[in-house]
Amino acid sequence: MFLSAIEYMIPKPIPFLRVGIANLPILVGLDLLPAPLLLLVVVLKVLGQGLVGGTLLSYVFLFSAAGSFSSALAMLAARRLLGPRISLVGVGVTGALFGNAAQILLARVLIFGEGAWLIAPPFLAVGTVTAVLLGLFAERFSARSAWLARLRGRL
Amino acid sequence: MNAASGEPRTGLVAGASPQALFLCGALLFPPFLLQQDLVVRAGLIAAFVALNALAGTRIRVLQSVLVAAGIVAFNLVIPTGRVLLAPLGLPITEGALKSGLMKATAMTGLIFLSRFSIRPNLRLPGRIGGLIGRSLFYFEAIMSQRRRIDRKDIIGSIDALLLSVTETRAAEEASEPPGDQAAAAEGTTARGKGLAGLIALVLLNWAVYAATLVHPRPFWGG
Repeated sequence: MFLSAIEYMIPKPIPFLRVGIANLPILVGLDLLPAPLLLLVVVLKVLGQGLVGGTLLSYVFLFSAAGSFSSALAMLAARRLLGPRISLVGVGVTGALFGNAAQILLARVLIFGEGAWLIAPPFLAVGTVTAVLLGLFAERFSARSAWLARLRGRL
Repeated sequence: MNAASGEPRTGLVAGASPQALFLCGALLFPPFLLQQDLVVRAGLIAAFVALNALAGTRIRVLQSVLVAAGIVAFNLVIPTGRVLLAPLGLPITEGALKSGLMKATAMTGLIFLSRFSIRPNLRLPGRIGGLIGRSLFYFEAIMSQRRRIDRKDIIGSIDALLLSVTETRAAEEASEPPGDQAAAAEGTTARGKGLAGLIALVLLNWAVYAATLVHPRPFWGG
């Protein structure tokens, strides 16, 4: 939610489309939590974003839910299927592509109509670049974090 | 808005609980989204802006207007229906314009309605509700210490912050959030007025929706 708040503060041409900074906890949690608990984190993230941003009763909530769930499921599948053969950068990019694609499809249905395809290329490009940076950050955070090491010890 | 409890202090909805506001928003949601008359929709959006102002909720009207204009522009890309205008050779068609306006008003109106009716201290029922409450507790704890995040050592400072928040969890979770105490201390008169205002709002919106169903108008209403 802290990361969601940061993402909320970043000026965007289309505010309801998210670049995915708030996916970082999901990325870090992939190797830490079983699938049901990870999806529970996604539920909490989506509902928490809706409460903190006051968007629970708006389309923004739908975009957040569609992007978060499709992204989390894609990241989960990539990590479980490929294991250590895929880095967190690769996992993050996979998640971003699926999450952004889901949001573009939703934008086509709810907001833009056929014009949605015009925003798809820049949106996917920004999402991919952000995902690479987040993946690199997640790799370093996972390796260095004492907080995460303590959590691993408990689980 | 009451910073501690997240409850609106002034105006029509003074003292209304987060649960009452959420229920009000949920009941206002269908008549707004089902409303096919664009003029009435625009009126409802103006009313939602006024409600946010009364409740002390900060909303970005200019940004929403720009987003709405963008949505309309994107919808105009694919022409449908008769041509209304053709400035600089670009056709503005009736179907595309109406579709764009409907989507733009739905988007902005629902954001304003949601901002008015959703409070951060809304407690949802059940296990999920409890977990969200705990997440919000952590969120507030992190936000209150966010200045500790050092740009020169982002990972190290975030790590230290997370450790600090986790370590103080037990002590802080044991005590009730101040918002709940403040909410308990609210006067019943203000609550009664707030509830009456919310009920009137909901009834008025449904009545307007029923009226536009009985007397639909062409183009802007049809």
